Amino acid sequence: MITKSVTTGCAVAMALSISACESTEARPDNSASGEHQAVFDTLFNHLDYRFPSEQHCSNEGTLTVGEFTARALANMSEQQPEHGKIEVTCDKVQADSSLASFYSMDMFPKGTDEKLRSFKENESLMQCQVSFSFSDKDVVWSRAVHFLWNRETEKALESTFRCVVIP
Amino acid sequence: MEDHQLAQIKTDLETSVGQRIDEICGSTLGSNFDQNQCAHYVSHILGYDFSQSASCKYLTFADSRNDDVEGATIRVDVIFNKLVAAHRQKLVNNMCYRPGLVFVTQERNIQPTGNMGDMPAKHIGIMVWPWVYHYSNTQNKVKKEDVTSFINTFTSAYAGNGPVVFYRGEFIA
Repeated sequence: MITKSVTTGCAVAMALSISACESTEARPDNSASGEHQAVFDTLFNHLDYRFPSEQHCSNEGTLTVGEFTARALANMSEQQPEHGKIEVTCDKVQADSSLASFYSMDMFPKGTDEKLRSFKENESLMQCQVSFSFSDKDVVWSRAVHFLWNRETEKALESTFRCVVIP
Repeated sequence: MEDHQLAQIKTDLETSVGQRIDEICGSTLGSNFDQNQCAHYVSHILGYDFSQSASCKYLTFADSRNDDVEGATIRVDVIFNKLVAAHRQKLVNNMCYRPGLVFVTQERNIQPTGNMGDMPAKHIGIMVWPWVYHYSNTQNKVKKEDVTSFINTFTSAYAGNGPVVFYRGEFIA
């Protein structure tokens, strides 16, 4: 498992401007390993990707990665930014039929499982998440974007994007 | 709800007091002590698992394959919005209530339809008057607290961004 914290100063800068999410301001500014940085960039390279409505990312139905991220950052900024953090976490997964079965759930676009079945088993896939979280006294929440990331091609599998909102 | 079901819930609640979430759930989420576990805890106690997109079991591929991980809803608004309007009412302190769910959020997170939105400041517990059983994320354990103390705690914690509202809800069949 790889975990990376991003300084909150970065989060605040991003919260002030949605367009900042597309710029280098969004990048972690501390000791980034190449892989962490690439996963983080992957998220921001998909700002226009629209989550499927079945994921209930917001009460208005679908929204984009960019909108979801901006809301998380705005919420962080609205409260106390020094208690917020951004983390990148990845776990290796095997491209096999059971992984395909996971992505056949109806919260993912149809055909996602078929795409995964076409991968070779030794394909180096990782299940990654970029999470935005806040913790202060009894206020604790997180907003995360999950996706499969191919280490060899350094690309995300678009249809595996998913938002996770807690609580 | 049948008397024996309520008795079982009360027993489960008492047993859970002081427990950490990983003693209740074996999922990846259950071992993440930085997360908000309030809805997760309530759902495990009451057996709520309303959708895969909001279930602890389907957060990771590994958990979805693990037979030891039982699914439970992890979002407060998903539980609140399962209640029909007649089964949720604003909570008034110093009134005696039948056992049920207790919710708190910011007033602006309640939509004109009466449904709860997805703003971050929200919390849920189970009320067996005069007690509220809920997951304290800061203490990282299940807490049994009297209703007045619960109201005071969350009024203070959420007050920074406008008025705070409390609701009581019936248990969901």
